[in-house]
Amino acid sequence: MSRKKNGLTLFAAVLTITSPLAVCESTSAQEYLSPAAVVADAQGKTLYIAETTAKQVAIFDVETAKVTASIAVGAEPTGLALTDDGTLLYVTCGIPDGRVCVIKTDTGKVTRQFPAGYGAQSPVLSPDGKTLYVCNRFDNDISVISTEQGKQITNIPTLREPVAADITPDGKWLFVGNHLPHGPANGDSVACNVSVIDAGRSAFEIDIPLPNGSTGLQGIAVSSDGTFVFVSHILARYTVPTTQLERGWINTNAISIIDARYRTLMETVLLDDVDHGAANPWALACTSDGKLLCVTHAGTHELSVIEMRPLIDKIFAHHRRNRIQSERSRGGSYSSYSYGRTNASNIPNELSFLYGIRERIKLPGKGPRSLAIIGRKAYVAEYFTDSMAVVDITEDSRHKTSSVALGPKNPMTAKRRGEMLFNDALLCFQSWQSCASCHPSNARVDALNWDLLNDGLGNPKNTKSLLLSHKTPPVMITGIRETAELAVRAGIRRIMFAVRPEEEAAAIDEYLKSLKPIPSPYLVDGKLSEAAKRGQAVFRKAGCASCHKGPLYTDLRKYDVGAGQGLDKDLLFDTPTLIEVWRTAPYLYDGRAATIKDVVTAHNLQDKHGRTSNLSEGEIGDLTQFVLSQ
Amino acid sequence: MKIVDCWWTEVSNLYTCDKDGKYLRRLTFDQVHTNFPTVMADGRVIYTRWDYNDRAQIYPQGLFQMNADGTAQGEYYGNNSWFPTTILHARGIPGSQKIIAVLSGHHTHQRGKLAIIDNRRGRQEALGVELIAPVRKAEAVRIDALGQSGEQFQYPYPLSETEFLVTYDSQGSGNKRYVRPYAIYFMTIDGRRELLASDPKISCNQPVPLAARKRPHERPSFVDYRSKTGTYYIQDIYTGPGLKGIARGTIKRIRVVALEFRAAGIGRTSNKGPGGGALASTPVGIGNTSWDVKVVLGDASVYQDGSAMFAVPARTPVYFQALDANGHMVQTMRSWSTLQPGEMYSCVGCHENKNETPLRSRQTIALKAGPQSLKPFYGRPRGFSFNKEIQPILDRHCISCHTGREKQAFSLLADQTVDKESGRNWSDSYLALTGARNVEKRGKPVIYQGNQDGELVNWINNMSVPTMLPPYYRGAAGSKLITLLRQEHEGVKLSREEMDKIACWIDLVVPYCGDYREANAWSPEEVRKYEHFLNKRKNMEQIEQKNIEALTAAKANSGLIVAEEK
Repeated sequence: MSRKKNGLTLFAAVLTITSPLAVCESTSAQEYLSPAAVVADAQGKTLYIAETTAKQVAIFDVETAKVTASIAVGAEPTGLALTDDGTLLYVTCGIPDGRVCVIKTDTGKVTRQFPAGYGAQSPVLSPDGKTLYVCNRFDNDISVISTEQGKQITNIPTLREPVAADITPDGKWLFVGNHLPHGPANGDSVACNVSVIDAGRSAFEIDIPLPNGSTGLQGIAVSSDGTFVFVSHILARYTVPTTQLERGWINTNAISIIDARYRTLMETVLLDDVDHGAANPWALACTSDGKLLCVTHAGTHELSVIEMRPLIDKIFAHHRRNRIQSERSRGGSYSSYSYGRTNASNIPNELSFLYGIRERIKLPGKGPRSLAIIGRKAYVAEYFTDSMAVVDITEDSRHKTSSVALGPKNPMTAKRRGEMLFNDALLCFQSWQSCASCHPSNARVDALNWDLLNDGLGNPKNTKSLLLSHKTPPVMITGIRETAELAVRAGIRRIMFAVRPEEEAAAIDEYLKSLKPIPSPYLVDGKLSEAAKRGQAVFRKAGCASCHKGPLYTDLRKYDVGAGQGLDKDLLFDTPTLIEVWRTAPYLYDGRAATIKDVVTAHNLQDKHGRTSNLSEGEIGDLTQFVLSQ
Repeated sequence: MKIVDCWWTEVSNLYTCDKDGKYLRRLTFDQVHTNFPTVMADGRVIYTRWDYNDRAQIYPQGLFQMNADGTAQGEYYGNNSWFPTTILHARGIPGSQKIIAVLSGHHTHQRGKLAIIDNRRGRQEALGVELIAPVRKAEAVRIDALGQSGEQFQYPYPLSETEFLVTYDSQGSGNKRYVRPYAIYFMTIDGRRELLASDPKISCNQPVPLAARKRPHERPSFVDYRSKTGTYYIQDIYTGPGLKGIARGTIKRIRVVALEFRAAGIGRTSNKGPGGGALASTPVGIGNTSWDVKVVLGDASVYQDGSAMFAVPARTPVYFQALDANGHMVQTMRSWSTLQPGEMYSCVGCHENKNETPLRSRQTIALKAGPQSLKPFYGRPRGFSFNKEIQPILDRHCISCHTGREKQAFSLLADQTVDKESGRNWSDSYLALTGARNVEKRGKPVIYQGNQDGELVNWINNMSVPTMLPPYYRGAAGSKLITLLRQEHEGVKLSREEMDKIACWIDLVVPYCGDYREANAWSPEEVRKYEHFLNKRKNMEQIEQKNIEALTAAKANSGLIVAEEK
């Protein structure tokens, strides 16, 4: 990646030790808090909460269940890591210039800042506290930072959008979750991976593919004894028609379990119940005694509490009974197809697998995206309601849940409410999914193909980002809906299988219209690179600009670009905007092109999608740079 | 509208209408009763359905589910199981995925034992059933008059997983008439109770709390009454116990058969088998043969990967048979499914576990190929009539030898025998091929019963067990008649069409009549009776058709159809 990391300007840290009233004042400029990360100190006395939209970290006193202070960090905080002794708090801030703020917890002051990559998040400290690993989401790599020197020692590439990480207690292995599948979407298996990093050598070890259909990975947690790694993600049933939701016919919601000793995928277990989806599994945490695994469901506003030993025993028993051989080769996965003498595991299709060993607890707030456990209490920060749910997870009193406001309750704007609804699976029939299941990360893409009914069956289409969709009608890949407003309402009816008040659709419109593109990581100091500048001329020369024109790079018309195959032969496709095209891979209507280069080379042999066949290798490279810089 | 097959009375199916009673239209097209619908929190409707197609009638009165517009009809609990004999009065428990219901019998009144059903634990026998008030384990028993001794429950209304209102009689009256009025109680799961309402003379029942409750999930309806068909998609027919042990590639076609149910009860047969015994009124064959008139709608390709997609007539009860390369039945459904107009319904395979998701396989051939129209079975869909389909074949090839005369082989002639008790004229050939024998009563022959394990032809007894039968259990594939004909018995060479028709006849459970009025031996009064009920049914269908037209017009006028198509 060619983006040059900007040097960090000195940054004035502001600390306000506040009463709740003062918190109110400090947040008056920021309407909402939007907690997205929470970490507890080793003594279980204090929680630190990353409040993204308020650009601050709140300090929460466990005993009094009150926010006692908040520390402004000047940018949206994305993740937290606390040293074992509780003295230093590392806060990642991600967009566009990634950095790590170091806060001395006794003074509440930001004392240092380390540079990190674009979209820095999910910081993880090595057990000795000397190394900090940071997921650079949009650089697709991991920064390995020396906490003493305050600088990056190396960076290790991952596959696509690393968003979550955790390290084994011995400090040997770092497991990194890639948010989205990479590569073309029309292959036999499309899934996101867990990248394993040998922390000792600071080197990439292996990628572990999750089962076919895995996407929207959000959380990763290593068990306290270092044996298992739990990964939360969506398990999409993208190869069946989207004509029904019953029994998980569109999206199911899962945790994958990796055997940390062998770095192999052991099993994938559904979190849904037969008639009741558990949408958008997000944060994960284990109790320190290794007995319970907790998972938040950001779509259904629930906490799943799973008994770990019975879960593992049940999986082993199932494997023995069905002669499923566990892979012992590094990076291997159990097969979703049977071959040789190894049988396929059917567990990823069993909607009752967790029956009897899991408790689903309704949470009082909306959007639980982060979680910390102290003893037998789970602290769940709720993104949309700016609240903290405190859940007693002891055997007998699991349903005891209380709610603590993290700040003043601000009335929701239509835009904010739209965002909440977009992420809310309670809209959906049996709460299998939210809009954000296929359009995660502020209405972008899941990198999968789906067979929607709006253009007939048997011709799946790659999910489009909804960014700018209201400004670039018609919408959908085939342009079948005249406007994005119609598509939003069709989505509620046809994908959520719900009749909802018009006011909700209107709020979702407001939210989608408010979305802003984020800068391309291909820009250098916010500007086109030299190669991209040359590519701009190639873009015009090859005729790309005749359809991809104007500030949004679309003339809003449909063309046959020679891409249609099978049932879609000779079909016209809507000209998509190229804004943010760097993050919407794969490309073409069926996601057959993994890269922009593939679009203009391998998949444009007849020059129907721009005149690209005569371009030199160098020109292709420059053109690609230009397109990806939008 | 519907007639009970063994009891001369009318019953009904489920209908829907708007809040003013307008646009009354039918949602289920079921054999006998379909009743006690209740709405779950997620908007689904659960109800009890009598469900016996080529299996005995005592045990399969399971719990079904559908959307409020009649789409996605399917099993909720116990359609492949002996236990519970009948599930009645089911209601979803608020804030829970469990339901409360009464477990009852078949030849009983609508009352029985109280249970909580949790289909997450399983859907057959006692797997998901827990008896309550007090809580105790349910045993999967095979009893006709299930739960009739001791205290009796009806119409539970759950307030939570542990508290409910219920109609109750602490003593019961065995499987006999009601001897004292029932009363309404508040009750807890462990059986503590408090009397709420009673009357010394009449029963108090069906309590409903007058309290605000959360509106169930509203699901948009995509039923399009302008369409005449619905579409089935099967992801992989080899998944599930139905085709266990069958090698991939074996299944070539899927046959779709519509069921026609009798309009009135005239005459009877006597049937007996491992699933029980029963009389069938207005029989379409002798005892132990097909229960209802079968109409072969046609068949569709099953691709190498086990997938299939095909359109069928909507608002029609259909069942499926998986056929091998010879056109022989490998597995048959012994239940039925119904689609609404424009509905697309997907399943995984052959009776797959309903607690499982679809497979994560690659895109199937069926999806890429698009929906097929059914290939007709040698002509337009028609009720399968032995006299029309099979007898002509016998006349062409067999009756030169098979006359039944002295020194000649048994008769395959069309000569008829009157069976007054059944109200049918059976042919020599039908009685011979089905191994018919006369069941005697007090030394007198009264009624014909077929031998499903006959020397020449074997078939699935209509009194078969409610549980899944293994593939190739009975039918054309294992019938000696087919082997003989394939070996060109006595030089007889049949065309593929002739072979297909004979195999189909066996696999449809050897029906005789393709219409309930065919080959009847009815008195003029009986003819009038049947016509009366048939006309009544037709009149009702006409009224319903007008309601549907009015609904479509109202939707068009309000711009709803245009809006939906956008």
